Amino acid sequence: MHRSRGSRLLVAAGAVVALAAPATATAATPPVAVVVHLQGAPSPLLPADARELRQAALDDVSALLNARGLLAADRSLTESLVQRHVVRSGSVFAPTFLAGVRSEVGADVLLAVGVEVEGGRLGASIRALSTADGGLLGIGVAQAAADTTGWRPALITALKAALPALTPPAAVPPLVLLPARPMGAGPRVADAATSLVLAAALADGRWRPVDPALVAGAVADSGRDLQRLDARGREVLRETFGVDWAAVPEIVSFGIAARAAGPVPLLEPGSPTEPDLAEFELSVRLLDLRTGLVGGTAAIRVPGGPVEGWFGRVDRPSDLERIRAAADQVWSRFQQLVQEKKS
Amino acid sequence: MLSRRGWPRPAAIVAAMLLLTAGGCGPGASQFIRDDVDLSFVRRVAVYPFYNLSQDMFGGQRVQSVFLTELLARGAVEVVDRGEMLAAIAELKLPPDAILSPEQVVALGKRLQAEGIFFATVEEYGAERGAEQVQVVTAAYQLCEAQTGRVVWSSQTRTDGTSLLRKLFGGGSASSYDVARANVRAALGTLF
Repeated sequence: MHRSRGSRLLVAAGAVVALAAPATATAATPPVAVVVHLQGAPSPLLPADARELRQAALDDVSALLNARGLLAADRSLTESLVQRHVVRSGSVFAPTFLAGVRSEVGADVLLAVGVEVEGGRLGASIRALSTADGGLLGIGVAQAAADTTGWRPALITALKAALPALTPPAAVPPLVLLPARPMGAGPRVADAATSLVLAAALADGRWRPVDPALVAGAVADSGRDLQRLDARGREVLRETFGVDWAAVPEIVSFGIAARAAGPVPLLEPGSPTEPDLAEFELSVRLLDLRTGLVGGTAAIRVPGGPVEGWFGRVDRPSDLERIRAAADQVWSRFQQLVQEKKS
Repeated sequence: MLSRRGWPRPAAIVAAMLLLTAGGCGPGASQFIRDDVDLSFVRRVAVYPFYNLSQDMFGGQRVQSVFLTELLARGAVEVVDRGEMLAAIAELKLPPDAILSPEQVVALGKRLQAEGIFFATVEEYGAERGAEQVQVVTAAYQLCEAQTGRVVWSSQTRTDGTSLLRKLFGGGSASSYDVARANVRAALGTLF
């Protein structure tokens, strides 16, 4: 049975409201599909293998959903779909995969959970997207350090903090935001920048961001590359999402110099290692999808080192906190730029 | 009492000191502009990935990002997105780490529908060896006319993080970002 777009959105909105406010799970509430992807290298400080960590993340997210009055969808159904569509990372979802989550799993909301091992810390990012149209309903990023009690409490803490309160779909224009381009920074920093700029855009309320994995999937399906977005790739974005421009975040680290031993990777988007993020610039560029021209840029530079406050108070914010603060400011500036371009 | 231009003497001294120390960096630029080319016809430009000779693996990328932001901030030209440039490089099979021939520049310009293409070589980026960690950026920038592939503007700029004010009052070096930005501004200042 096919539902109209309006009724699909209403059902998604119902699930969203249920997620936002704790309630009792009922059989009538559509289940929430959950996919977990791991990033980062194993750490001796976190003696859990990938399978164990993944399983624990699925269990914990299911428990957190239950606490909010929702049910996680049947794992075997979701897993089968993930394997069939070869979804190897949470950063690229083919439109057919999302359609499968809706039709085969029966979920209106997909939670894309990323768990990252970073030394003795565990990072979690959770994106909630509507399976009806790929619109982002909520996004959260958090970190927790493993202590003497082991890695499991840290995982629960990170997932709990990252599970977002979902925003009901609103009648606002869609926003296509490409994954952040890192310069002199690693993929971990780029992922954090993408998530936190998206969070700022979602909180702004003037746009409904499309999930970046779906943007990447649509471009990949057309045989194009997001890093080398040409005219055909831009056309795909325009046709698929009905937009004329895209926001392109870029994060540039000016941290401690990495000594080059061989040829320098001019075309590589990031770095396999994670250089120091002492001083950085976060910018959001306005890309005109019709012409391929950059219409403007909003940027903010964040100095490195500790932050000195009143009465000699010295704070040492984490990279995540610094990127979050920068993302909020740069998004505000970007909005001004968009308004200027409109007028 | 006024100086010859009407400034009170102490104010003139302070103004001179501020001028000497503006930005915290002392750029030195040498430039070349072809006088038989009307640069006002260059409206749409692209930026080729900066060639990096510095010891910092990401020196080229870092300076390029600052360059792009400063170029956009001036609003004098339209700038092709980096993704389109990378797509064109892959399509035309251009070497990312070698000097392009004029024919290659023409082909690239045609593919990107750009009238000019910026190139740069970052020669130094990072802390200068010595007792003090002084940040240094040295870069050579070029603008090539896409129709003919010839160089119409060139600027070589060296900028460090020291300044008279910092020396006088014992401040440390300006940050890498500030030095890179001062370098780019000094270079672009000779063009726009």
